[in-house]
Amino acid sequence: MKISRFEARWIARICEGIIPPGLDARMPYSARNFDYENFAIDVMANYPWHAAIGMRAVMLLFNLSPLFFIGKPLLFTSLKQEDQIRYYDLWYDSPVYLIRQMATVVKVVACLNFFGQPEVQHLVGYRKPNQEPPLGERPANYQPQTSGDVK
Amino acid sequence: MNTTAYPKDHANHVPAAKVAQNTSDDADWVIIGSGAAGAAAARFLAGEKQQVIVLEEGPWRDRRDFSANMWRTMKNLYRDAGTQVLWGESAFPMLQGCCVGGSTLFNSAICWRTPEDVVDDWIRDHGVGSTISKQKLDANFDVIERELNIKPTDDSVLGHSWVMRRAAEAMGLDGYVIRRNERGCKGAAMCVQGCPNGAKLSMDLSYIPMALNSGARIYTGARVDRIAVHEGKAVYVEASLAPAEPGGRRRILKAHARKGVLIAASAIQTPQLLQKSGLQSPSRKVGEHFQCHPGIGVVGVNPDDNYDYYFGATQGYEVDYRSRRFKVETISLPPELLAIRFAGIGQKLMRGILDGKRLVIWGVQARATAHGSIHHRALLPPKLSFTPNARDLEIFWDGVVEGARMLFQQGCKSVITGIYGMPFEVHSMEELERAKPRLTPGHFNAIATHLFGTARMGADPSNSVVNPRFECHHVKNLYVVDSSVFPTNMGVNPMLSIMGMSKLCTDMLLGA
Ligand SMILES: Cc1cc2nc3c(=O)[nH]c(=O)nc-3n(C[C@H](O)[C@H](O)[C@H](O)COP(=O)(O)OP(=O)(O)OC[C@H]3O[C@@H](n4cnc5c(N)ncnc54)[C@H](O)[C@@H]3O)c2cc1C
Ligand code: SF4
Repeated sequence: MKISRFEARWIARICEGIIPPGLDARMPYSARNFDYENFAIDVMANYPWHAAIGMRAVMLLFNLSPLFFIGKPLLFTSLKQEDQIRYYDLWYDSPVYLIRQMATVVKVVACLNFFGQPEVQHLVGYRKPNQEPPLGERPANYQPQTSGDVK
Repeated sequence: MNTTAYPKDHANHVPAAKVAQNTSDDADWVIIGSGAAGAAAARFLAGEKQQVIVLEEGPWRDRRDFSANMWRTMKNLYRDAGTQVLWGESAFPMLQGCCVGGSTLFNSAICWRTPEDVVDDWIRDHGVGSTISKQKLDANFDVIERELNIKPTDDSVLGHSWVMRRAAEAMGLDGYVIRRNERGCKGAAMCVQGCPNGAKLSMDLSYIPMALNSGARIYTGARVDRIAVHEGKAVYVEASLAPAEPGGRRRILKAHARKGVLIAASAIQTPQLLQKSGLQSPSRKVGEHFQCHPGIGVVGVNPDDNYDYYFGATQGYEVDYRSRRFKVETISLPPELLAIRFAGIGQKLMRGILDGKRLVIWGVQARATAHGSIHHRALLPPKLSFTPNARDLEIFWDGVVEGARMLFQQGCKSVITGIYGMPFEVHSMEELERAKPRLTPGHFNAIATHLFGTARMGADPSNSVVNPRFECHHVKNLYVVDSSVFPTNMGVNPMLSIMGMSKLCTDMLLGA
């Protein structure tokens, strides 16, 4: 399923709220350092149609969640960083199963891209064969393997 | 056995892209699916000079395509990019492969024989004793274990699994070094991404190449949509061939079977294919009695130790609590999956993953008692239903408790259960037991990878789909050889049992 750049951009902004900068001194990266827009486009293109629709709905509802859950006419992406984490934690622990699941799905998208990045994998001690080169070691024409298909 | 080069390049491999037009082919046997069940059937039929065609929906991936990046892995190897979910009172993700070798490409290579009590139950409750016995299965396991080099994980690559081994030895538990189908495992702990070293003897590197060397042909990108029946007998199957490029045209391949059609598409796809082909059994049991082994994580944290969590055989040790219907296994997950399993976000999450070497994650595999169902729907996605019952929830809890007990014994300072309603971490067994919530299915983040029973075998046609000779009660020459036919789940990892049962079917077809 194709999504617009606009939609990909706000999915990226949500993920940036989930993994913001400054969480730990040992991690110089945050979601902002990586290309979440193309990642979101790639995810939607590779998901079966029904999963892609579900994912879009979850992302939309999540962005509107401050309106539903705290009664403020705000988007998640427009909350301050501390509030984003605080509210996310509340929803992740919500007594309503569907709200918890929604929060989990958002986390899955954010973590799949972030912790799959070679520089992040190196920092967490995951050094493996078949790993992409870290940012600094990529040739100018390098195509990241995280988007697009193999052969 | 050809395990060194790239068997994908074998002359008998026909990728869909190479077939320009609608076409047909024929053989003695047509096998649908190339996972544990289909590959074993192909190897043992082709090895006896039978003509065999294997039809595989997915592409042929090999280690040139594998990646340490989990998203790339999921979209290239996993069915529906890993998005399948079992729905019920909760949603459990369910993982399967869609490529040559099926789920064996990225499974942990664990190989256990079918337990004796399981075979006894099948014989007693389902009347399969005319053809199935522990002795016959054991004879097949002897062959398969030899051919796939199945042996206990070497001490040198036990890695993170030593933690559980030490706990089991100290506590006098029923612990085992896991037996695996590999040759030269380097402990890369990357089984879930496809072995980068070609060490794991998954079906794409073992039984499929052996079958091709014996003359079998495999079509890849060939999704079987219909099994055609004439005068009560399965005669051919119709496969839709994947377009050569995105947006391209699909072509139809008709594969005629002179002797029979073997369905080995897995316990999820097999019933759907039967339903899609209008072959629901008179018992209406196709798709019913679905069972699984839900897996739940339990994490130990020890800031003072270095468990080197990312080194070692992906799964190397387990403790079995058979009478309590669960076992606890070691497992190493890549950072993406570790982060997803880890509770919460923000600093807690980041600190947890950065301290990854100080974590141990174990999986509780529960032999759940609940039954679900699998249903194909023409215009909607399939309906995959499963809800653990109250007894299952207690089994999950019991497994987490025993996992935690071992982790604390090994000096972990805290344990993270990820169970809803519990504190983020607990620091003692007393705290854990005190914090037990009133359990519902939504309290657990489980995942299902072992799947059974949706076209189950039995002597009584009113209560089963295939007879004890693996043939559908209601269609001649149509055999089901994957774990759909298992009358129950087993409490052990199913791959070896699936191959052993598949060989049992081919033994019968060959008149052995
Ligand atoms: C992450 C993971 C880890 C696991 N670890 C272990 C382990 O360590 N040990 C163990 O014993 N078990 C393990 N399992 C389970 C084990 O891998 C499976 O039980 C086993 O592979 C099932 O064999 P199968 O042949 O029934 O299905 P699969 O191996 O899933 O193969 C079915 C094949 O059929 C193809 N197919 C489906 N429908 C069609 C169609 N219509 N037309 C053509 N082709 C079709 C699929 O694409 C697939 O390739 C694991 C599973 C997973 C997901
Ligand atoms: S642990 Fe590593 S080397 Fe061993 S089989 Fe798995 S992926 Fe291959």
